[in-house]
Amino acid sequence: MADIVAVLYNDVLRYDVKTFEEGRHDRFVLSKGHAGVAVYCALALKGFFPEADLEHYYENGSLLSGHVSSAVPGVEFSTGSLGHGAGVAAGLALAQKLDKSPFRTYVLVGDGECDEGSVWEAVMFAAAQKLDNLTIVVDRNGMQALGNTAEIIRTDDLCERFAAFGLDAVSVDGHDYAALKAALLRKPAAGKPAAVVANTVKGKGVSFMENELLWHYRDPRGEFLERALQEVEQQL
Amino acid sequence: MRNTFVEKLLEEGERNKNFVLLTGDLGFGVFEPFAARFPDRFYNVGIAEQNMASVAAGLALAGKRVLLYSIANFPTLRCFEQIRNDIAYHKLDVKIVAIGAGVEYGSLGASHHGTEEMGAMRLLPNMRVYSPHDKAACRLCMDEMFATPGPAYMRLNKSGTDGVFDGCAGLGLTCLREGEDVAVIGTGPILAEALAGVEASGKNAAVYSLCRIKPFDAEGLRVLLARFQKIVTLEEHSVIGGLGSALSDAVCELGVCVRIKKLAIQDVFTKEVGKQAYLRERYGIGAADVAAAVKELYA
Repeated sequence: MADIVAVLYNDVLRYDVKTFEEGRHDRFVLSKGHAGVAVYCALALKGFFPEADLEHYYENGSLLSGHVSSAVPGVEFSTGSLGHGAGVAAGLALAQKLDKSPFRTYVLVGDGECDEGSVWEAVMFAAAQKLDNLTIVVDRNGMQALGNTAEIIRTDDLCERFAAFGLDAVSVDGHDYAALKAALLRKPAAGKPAAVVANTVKGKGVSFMENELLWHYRDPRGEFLERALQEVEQQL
Repeated sequence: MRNTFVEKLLEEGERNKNFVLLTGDLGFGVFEPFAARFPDRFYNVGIAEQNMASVAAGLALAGKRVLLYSIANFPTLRCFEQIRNDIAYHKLDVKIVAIGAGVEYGSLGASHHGTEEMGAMRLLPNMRVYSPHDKAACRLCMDEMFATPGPAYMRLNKSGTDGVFDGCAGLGLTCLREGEDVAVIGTGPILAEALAGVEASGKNAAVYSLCRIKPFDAEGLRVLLARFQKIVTLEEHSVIGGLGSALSDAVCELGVCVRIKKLAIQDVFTKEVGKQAYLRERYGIGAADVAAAVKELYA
């Protein structure tokens, strides 16, 4: 998912750190709020707040909560309970339509999150209101809190489902920067919201973390952290 | 009272070009004038209240003032977490209005009885809670709601107590009938039962209205308790979380000794169906119950 966030903040979202508070920019809602740390890192690198603040993630008195918080500069909206972000993004996109804004709204949801019925309420509403300025991005890593989506609620046909609900949906390799950039910048058919199903590997780039459920819960520390950093750096 | 609500919507629509109205596929014969005058600011979001609340949050985040509407539990309990996380937590300018407060839709059954939603809304930080009883009160509530950016909830009935109190209205504790020793404090259209009950009791109890349940009128209560040490609360809501609870909380904070009798639905679901008047009587919140409570406190 970090790759999706990196492409969004490097190559897709139009924003200005200095005038961010005025709200005239591409809107981005992280609906899978538990991945807030990825957004915090992107925001620090882009100058929304000092990188040193990241050291206090999760700590007593810190604003950097585990689930993404709009108390942090640059974060559009707080989430954490799944299935909220798509509806909020649809509201933002509708407001952009009403204001004839040149900007778009992006929302990043998880594939496990698509178990929530409210995601589909938002998808149907977006299609009904012809919100072609909205892009719903799915981080389809095939895993959820207690196992593989294939064994819980299948998500392998998400792209077809979005299309059936009236969205202009494409599927893409969620670790291929060029492909992601093209998919996220692609203008959907007129009158249709866009869906980008990004197929990803959870823990990508760290051999002992890839597709391992344990690392959904565990913080890498000590030797694990060193090994993970080494592996990632070797690939840069 | 609902017509007054519609008039105020049109007024706000005219005054504020950022005012957007959402309904969850309810309001037949209610929103046509607004939809005709402001077609791009009226949306029927369909039968999807969770999405309605989240969409309202998104619109408000982008600078719109949003009012969302449905029946009793649908724009409140059905989407409670969306209201908590998306609207209240972000302090967004979203007004939630429910029709059918209490047992107004009595014959439709317990699913349509709004008997816990006021307590649920009162529970949320940043949320203001209004419960008007007639046109004049509804006007005051909406004036304050629209003058105060941020989340608010208002519960309505189609008709109120119009003609009963000569349009005498206030948001805080407001005297509707002068009296001595015992004060009946009610909220919403059930105040008509308070007045009838006091008349039937043959006692000279006072009747007060409270339209704004939160923030609570603590100063008004302090003044009232200087004159009355025996209070009856009356509401068309569960005994837990509504007017009686709010008043008890405020009395505790004041640290005074007061006798309070709470007339409310006593932590049960309605089993039978029936008209509003029937159900009020059946669940202990009718005029006869007020009369009995007043007499008990005078004894």
